[in-house]
Amino acid sequence: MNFTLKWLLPYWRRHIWRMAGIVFFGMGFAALQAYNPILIKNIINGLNSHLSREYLNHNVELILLVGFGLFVTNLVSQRGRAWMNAKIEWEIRRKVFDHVIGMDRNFFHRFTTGDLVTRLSDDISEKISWFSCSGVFRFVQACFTLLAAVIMMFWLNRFFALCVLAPLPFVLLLSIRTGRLLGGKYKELQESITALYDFLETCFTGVRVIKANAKESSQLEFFAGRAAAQRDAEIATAKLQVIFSYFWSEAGFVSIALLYALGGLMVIKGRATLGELVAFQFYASMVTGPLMDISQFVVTGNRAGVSIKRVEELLRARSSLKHGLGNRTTPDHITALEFRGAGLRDPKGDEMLVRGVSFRAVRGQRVAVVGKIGSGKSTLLALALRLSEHDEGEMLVNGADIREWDLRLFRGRVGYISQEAAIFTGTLRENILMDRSFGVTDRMLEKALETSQLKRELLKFPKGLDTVIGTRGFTLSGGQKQRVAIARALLTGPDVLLLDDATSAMDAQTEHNFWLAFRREHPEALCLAVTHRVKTIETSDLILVMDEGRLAEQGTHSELLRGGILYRQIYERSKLAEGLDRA
Amino acid sequence: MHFDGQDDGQDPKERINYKATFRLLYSLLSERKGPFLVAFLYMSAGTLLNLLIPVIAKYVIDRALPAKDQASLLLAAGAYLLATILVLFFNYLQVAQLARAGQDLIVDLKQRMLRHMLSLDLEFYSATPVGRLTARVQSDTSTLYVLFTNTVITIFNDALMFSAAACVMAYSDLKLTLILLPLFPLLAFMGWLFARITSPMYVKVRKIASEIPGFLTEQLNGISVLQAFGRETAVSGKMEDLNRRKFTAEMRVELYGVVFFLSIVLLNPAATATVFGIGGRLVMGGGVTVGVIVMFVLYLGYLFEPIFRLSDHLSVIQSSFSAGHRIARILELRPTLTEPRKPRYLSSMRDSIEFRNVWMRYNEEAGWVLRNVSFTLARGRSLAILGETGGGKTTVTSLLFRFYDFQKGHILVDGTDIRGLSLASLRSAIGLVQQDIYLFPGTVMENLKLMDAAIPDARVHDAIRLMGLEAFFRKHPLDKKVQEKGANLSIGEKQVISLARAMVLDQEVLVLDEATSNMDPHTERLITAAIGNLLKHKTVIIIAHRLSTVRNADRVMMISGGEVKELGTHDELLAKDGLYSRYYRLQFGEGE
Repeated sequence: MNFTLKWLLPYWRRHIWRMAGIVFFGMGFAALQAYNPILIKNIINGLNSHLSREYLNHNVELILLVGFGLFVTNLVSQRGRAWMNAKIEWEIRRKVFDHVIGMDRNFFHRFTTGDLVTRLSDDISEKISWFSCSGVFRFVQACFTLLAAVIMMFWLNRFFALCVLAPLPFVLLLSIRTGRLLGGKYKELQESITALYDFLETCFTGVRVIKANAKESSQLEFFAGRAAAQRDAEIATAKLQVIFSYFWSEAGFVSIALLYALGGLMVIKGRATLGELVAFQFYASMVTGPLMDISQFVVTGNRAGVSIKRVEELLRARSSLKHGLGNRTTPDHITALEFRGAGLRDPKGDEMLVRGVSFRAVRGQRVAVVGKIGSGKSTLLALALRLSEHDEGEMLVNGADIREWDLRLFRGRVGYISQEAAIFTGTLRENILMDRSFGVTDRMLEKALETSQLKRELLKFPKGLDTVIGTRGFTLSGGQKQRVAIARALLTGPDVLLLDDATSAMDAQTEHNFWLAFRREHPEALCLAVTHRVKTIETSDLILVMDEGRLAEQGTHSELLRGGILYRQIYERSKLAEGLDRA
Repeated sequence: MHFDGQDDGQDPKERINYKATFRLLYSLLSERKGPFLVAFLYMSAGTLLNLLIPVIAKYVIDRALPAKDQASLLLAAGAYLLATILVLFFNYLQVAQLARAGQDLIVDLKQRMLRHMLSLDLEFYSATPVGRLTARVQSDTSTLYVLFTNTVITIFNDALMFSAAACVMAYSDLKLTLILLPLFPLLAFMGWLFARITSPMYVKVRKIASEIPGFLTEQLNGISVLQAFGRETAVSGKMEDLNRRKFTAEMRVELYGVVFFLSIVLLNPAATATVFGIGGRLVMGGGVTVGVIVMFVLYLGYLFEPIFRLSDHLSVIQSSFSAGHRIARILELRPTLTEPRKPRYLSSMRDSIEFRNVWMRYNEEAGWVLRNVSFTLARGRSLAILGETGGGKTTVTSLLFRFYDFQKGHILVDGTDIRGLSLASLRSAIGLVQQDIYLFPGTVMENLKLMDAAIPDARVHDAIRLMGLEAFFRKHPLDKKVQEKGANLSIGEKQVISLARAMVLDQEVLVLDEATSNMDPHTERLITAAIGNLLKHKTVIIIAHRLSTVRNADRVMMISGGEVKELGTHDELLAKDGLYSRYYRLQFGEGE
């Protein structure tokens, strides 16, 4: 809990005045609440002793005034807490998201997208947000209320105060025990619900098997058993829940009964007034509520703590990309790329993903990267783009260490097309421009569309470039997605183009046309392409054959046909596969 | 995470059919009038007793204390204690009774839905994501549970409490009551207005909240592209924009909420002040006692409570109608493939299966998926089907189960067209084994029986012995509980279980869809042996990916573009040097 509160402290500090307001008005609310029964006492005592009209009016006005005061203080503190909850959620998400999108490739291997999404949405919105202000400061306010009520009660009538407070320790004790029982029941209930979800998911995904084996009735029977288990758990939980709720909302009744009996006797004996008796009836119902906030604080605090640790884990992760080795902001174009024994360790650090890769490519060349699945082709491209920082060897750009370049500037000169063409929800134009409005002309867009072979296809889109695509938009074919990704990469005329199997879903003719157009438009560009297409491989200036993370063979097509064992296998296989596709 | 996907799968523009939904909800409730009535009686008893408490306070103040009567004071305190305990007791009974009645109703409804869904065609399943199906059965029914156990009965109860309190108050002092009462219709109107104004706002907040995971998933999946193009700042800006929209929407709806609820909180002292101000004057005139004033103040608390609940009720009713509508929509669906009118029953295949010039397409507009497919498979023999993805392999096997109907030709089992056979008997006689499976939450034993409790344990043990899998099931004992759909088992282990299951279910004909995933050599050997055993003991059609499977099968059929390209034994086809031999070299050629 200490860690949790300490973690939240900077967020509170940033909004110090608002936080001070929340605390101050919360205190005001507590004080007014504790004062209210006094007014009732005054009126009732007055009524019993022939009060004057002015006295009555005065007290009634005070009730209205206090009521208004309660309204204002509660409005400010409650609104303030809600505002802070939402604001802190916003600030945490901004901080974590900005941190995450700057991380290297290892990080995204370590945390899956689903995991990251859960931490960035569910953990922050559902678990941390409410606790970050409401959870903590409702607790604080509850303590004020309790304190104020207790002070007022002792000031009014010590004996009555004892009557009201005497049962509370028992209430607290019993409620903690019931709460623990309830926790167990909730867990059981949750498990039975999970079991049902699992069952249904298995049943619906495997529906072919069930129908094919005509086992519908046994499925239903099994489901009935599971549903009955959930039913029993639900009923048991509901029963315990209602008992648990009694401790908070109804526990004052023992105090009130004590007041009626013992307090009544005192009133009869003239040692207390009727007004005090009635006032204490209100106090009795005022002290159990804060106890609930206090116990909630512990429960939600623990839950928030777990989520905060999960978020903190992301923030603690460091990117291996090294900045500041010298931020070269040269206007030079990239003309040569060289790997000298470059290698990359896997995130756990015990094995090399790729190692000892050495080759050199210059502008105007096309380098084909071939190899089996998992041989390290994509990792090679990731190194070239500095999505990962090499751990071994050297990487040189124009003969100088790649790390001397400013990362953003370097990447700005490189065009990249990932294996899974990333399409974002938005228009076709937005997907290609990617907010790069500065210095991008319509002519450049036109050219990119032409080169990527997308132009002819624009007619097929209902609204041309303004067609909304992505998860909730127009569905693109695999080949279309790849061409959108290529157009995006070509838009700004990069010095280096990296294609990670980015033409696989195009037909051979379209791919051929693309390469022709590409060379015509970008004769100087250096191109590194992971590919399976025979024609593309054959006509490359250099071919790199990857095998189990090593660069096994390299050379031109004719060299490798003569000398490369692995290359011949892969080449033959690719040819066979293409032959079969055409069959 | 089961509860984050609030995918209600509903077109926002789709209008809820209130009439049909109401009919469904009403019929569900009217089937269980008795239990709900009992719960209502408990609730009424509790409410009426609860209303007695201010009366006791009045008695103490007006009678016991002025008379200095200790006995009646203690009696009143005792009565108060007893009344409160009874209230809590009846409340407990009511909650328990409602939970039982409501759960019974919901469990019935769930079973009815699942029975109905399982009777629907496979098209239904391919058209609807699994998450949406489970949401219909689980989340939508829970929404209705809240409606039936909480909302419906509380509304009646609130009405009862309100009118009873008003009556007692009017009986004690008509004038004061008449001054206070007009306040409440006004409050009710405010509550209604609040629900009207804020419910679209809540919808908006939920929509924005659900945009966040979607946005994050999309951006993080494309992170390498974003980084490559140096788009970090732009993406961060978009995230910021979404954060801001969420914040603004939440703050807006929260403002309405806080103003509404606190207005009620403010009206409470106003009403109290009214009671004291006007009542106090009446007391001075001698018309009313102090006890009545205190009683009125206590009753005010009772009267304000239902107002707080009103807007909750309205939102539950609204979401229940959406949920009920979705449930009713599913229950309306009818399967197209049903039992023939005078079916013949098949107990087991004796002779052969024959496809005779079968043509098939999924609908009139679509192209043919199968063209003129013919083959025969005799009892005890095996056929391996090979071909590219989407070439028609799975369609062939689907037709055998009559998951779809074909347009031309015949599919014969022992010489009878399957369209004349009882659907259930056809499917009981032929088994399907899929290797990409989830396991059910139950024991390994139950999973082997596909949850059919009628299968004796002995058959499971026999099957395991026949398959030579004793060692495997010693490592994974039959009474072991499967966790999280089999997350504690590897893909390979799940496949072994699925193959063993085929032997347990004991059908003469098996259709096997071999999985392609890579696995460790040990499991690979285990699976190869298991498939070998099935081929030996059963009549098998297998969509094959393993070399050993293809070799072990009696015949091989190459399907491409919906046509049978080649059909014969492995050696025959290899000698032909056609499509199969090329495919064979590619798939199983050197290096693997």
